Amino acid sequence: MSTGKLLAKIPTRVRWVLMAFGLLLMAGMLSGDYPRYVLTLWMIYSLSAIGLNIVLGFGKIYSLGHGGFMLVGAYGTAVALNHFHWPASVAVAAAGVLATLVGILIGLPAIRLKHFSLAIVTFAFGITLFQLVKSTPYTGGPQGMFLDVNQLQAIWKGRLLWLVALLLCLTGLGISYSVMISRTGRALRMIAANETVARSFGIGVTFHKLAAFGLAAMLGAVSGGMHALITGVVAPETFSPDLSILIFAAVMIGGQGRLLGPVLGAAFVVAIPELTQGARALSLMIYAVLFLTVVTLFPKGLLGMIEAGVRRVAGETTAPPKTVAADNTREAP
Amino acid sequence: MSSPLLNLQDISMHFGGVIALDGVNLSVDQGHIHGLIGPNGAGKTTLLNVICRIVAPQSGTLNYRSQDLLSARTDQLPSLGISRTFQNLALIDDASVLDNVLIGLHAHRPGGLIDELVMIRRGRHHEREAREVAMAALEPVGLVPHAQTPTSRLSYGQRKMVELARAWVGQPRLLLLDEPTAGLNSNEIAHLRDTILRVRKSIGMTILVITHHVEFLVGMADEVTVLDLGKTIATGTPDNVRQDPRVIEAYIGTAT
Amino acid sequence: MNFDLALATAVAGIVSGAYYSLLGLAIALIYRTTAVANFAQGELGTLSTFLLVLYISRLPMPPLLQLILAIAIAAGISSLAYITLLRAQRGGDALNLTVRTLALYTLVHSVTLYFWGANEPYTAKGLFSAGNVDIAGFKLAYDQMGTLAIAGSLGLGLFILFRFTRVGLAMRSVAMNAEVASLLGIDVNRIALVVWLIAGAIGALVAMLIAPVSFLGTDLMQPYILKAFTAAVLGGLTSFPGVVVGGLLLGLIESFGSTWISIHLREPFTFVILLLVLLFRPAGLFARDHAGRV
Repeated sequence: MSTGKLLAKIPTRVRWVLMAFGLLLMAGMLSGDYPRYVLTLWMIYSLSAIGLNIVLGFGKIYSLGHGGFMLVGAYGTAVALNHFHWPASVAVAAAGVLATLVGILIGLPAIRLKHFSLAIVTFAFGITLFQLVKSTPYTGGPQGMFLDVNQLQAIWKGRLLWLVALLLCLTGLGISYSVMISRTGRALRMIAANETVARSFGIGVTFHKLAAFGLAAMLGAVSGGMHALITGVVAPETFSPDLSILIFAAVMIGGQGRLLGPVLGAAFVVAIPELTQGARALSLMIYAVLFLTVVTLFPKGLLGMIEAGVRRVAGETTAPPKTVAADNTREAP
Repeated sequence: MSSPLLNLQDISMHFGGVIALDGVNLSVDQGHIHGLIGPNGAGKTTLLNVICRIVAPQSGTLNYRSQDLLSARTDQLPSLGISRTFQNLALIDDASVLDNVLIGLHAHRPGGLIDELVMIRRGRHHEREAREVAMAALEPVGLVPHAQTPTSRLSYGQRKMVELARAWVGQPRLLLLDEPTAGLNSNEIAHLRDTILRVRKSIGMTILVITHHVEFLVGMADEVTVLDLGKTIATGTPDNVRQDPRVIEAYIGTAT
Repeated sequence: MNFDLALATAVAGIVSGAYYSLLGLAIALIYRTTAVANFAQGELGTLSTFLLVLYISRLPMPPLLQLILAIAIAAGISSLAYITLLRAQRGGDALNLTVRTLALYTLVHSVTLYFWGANEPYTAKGLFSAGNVDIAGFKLAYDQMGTLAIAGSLGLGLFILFRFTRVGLAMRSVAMNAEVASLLGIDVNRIALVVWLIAGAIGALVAMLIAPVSFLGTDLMQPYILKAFTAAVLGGLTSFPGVVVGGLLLGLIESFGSTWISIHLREPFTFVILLLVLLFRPAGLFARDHAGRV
């Protein structure tokens, strides 16, 4: 099939996204070193948020230990690089596989526990991993480990890592999109709507929940591994339970259950602190106020806010009207 | 005479101190439409939940195609050809009509997580096929133009139709309908009866309908079983049952 | 382990358990009546403790009134948060509402950091005098006794409230089933407001009990919040006495865990216990069974 025909088969929306990422890639390539570094971090956090979105956004499963998967990815990469001397890409891939297994393990409580209890268990998992790497000399203890990746970071002054990060984020979006429009994605959403009903249609609840966790863990781990490669260091404090809360917030702020929501949310949690750095101590307060405003006034997240804004500009009223039945006399349900 | 498709004998079920079902007998013959009526709280939905293996009865036998169904699990129902609708519509609110109906095909289509993720030709082919079947199921209920509409934006009557389409898209052998007429106006009820009869003809399924609306069953149901306070109090044709004094007594105050 | 050490460990466990129980109660109350997991539960307590120690304690008022004022402020902010953040904008689902409390937590934390973060930690004067009491050779600190006394009275007060008052009964009804409660004529909104008020007060009181013992810093309540959530889960969110027992158990397990095993493995140890409990009783130790409705 010729390139032209292949391109023509891509749906319009996908074309817009690809174009946007193309422009983004250019912007990163041409910008100064520090802005590119921030953009790279944005892509990395987006990837992680995309992973969490599959579990939290599609499956409505309260996973509050996502930072733990990033930790496994980062530390796994660090250990493979420093102790086993594997090449960087292999290290990250291996860490991803390890995290997938961990993810499935963490998914096991999700089968029987709901909401609140599950949130606590997953959060406790995050804390446990954090304490573990903090108190183990093999992983560098409280100080962490330095990675010898200076050569990697120096390539094109960080442009290689930027390219890789962007491509990984796009891949993550691709995976997320596939899940969304597939049988598995529908099954996940049915499980979120009503587990018993999902079962009655033959949906394997256990399989789908574990698959969701495995996938989320893999994406989170690759994100963590990349973080290690980009910053050149893994330290426990970077992967504290606060990180889980951060990614959780990113998913919710961006618009949970939506494709591009995580990318927007990651932008928020990366950009706001960066932009307000000048205001020093006020920075966190400004972030908190914006955070509170967005999630309170826009339950559908930034994506929902933008869509509502676009609709308003296009002349429609707040939401498309419900369809009405022809005859309005009803029997009591 | 061939044995009934579905046969419940002496089913008893209690939740703590509440007796939901007390020695219930129900027999549905192949190809028939069987009504299950009774006042609120009679145990009709509980009976359906027993058949669907959502709850386990304390005693009694449940046979489907002459085989014990009590040992089956809820997720095995589709492969056995049993499908149902739910009284409190259980749809994915923010998903499209088509996506909801596709849930009904989940067990009937192969799928692999890897296939789907990588979107290779085989995965896409299966998906396309499934969508065609689902669209076809939307025809009898008149929802083809709304295939991509999120179900939250439909009227109550239309959402009931989505539930129906989801239930029979997999061409079940036995269809269980839980209060399909609730919340519908008389036009919609008539339309519903026509649709059920039409689809039954093309698929050839056996139907068990729970309703408290006896009129709906006239001209449609072959038999009716009446439940009251967990007990079967009458069985027969809709006309006979309508005139049965015990049934009338159970329904005093409920005009239909 | 000799008897004295065991007893000391047990007492320490019960004291921290008391904190977990009270906070866990506040959290369970809010969760059951407004279906929100209140992340900000601890921070409001920290805020009001800062206000008490740094400003209110300088006012010409008897200490008891100062305490009550600080608690009242916390209760007030808590109710205000409920009204503006949750009630005024009902658009989101339970998850979204919970995230709002997360944002609130971030906001309150940032406020305490901004005003007082630079010079922390501060010391807070204890509510009780230093020193021990000797009971048959075993030393029990005054502030341990005082804490247990206050926690006990608060627990008792809540028990009386729930069991014997109309408001308490209304709260339990809403906690069991808000929809049915409102059909029975209970003003669910008013009850929710009362619940948030009480929860805010509890959080403040617990913070004020903790502050003199650890140092008063912006992350005063951080270690306690997760434990409070755990206590709530262990006890089974539907049973308030269960939460109390859950909290005490948690405190004891933790205390013995860190003495027997290692202080570093305290967190993982507690996690394993939590996991084991939930494995066998997914709804908590004391929960009544709630089947899903179809």
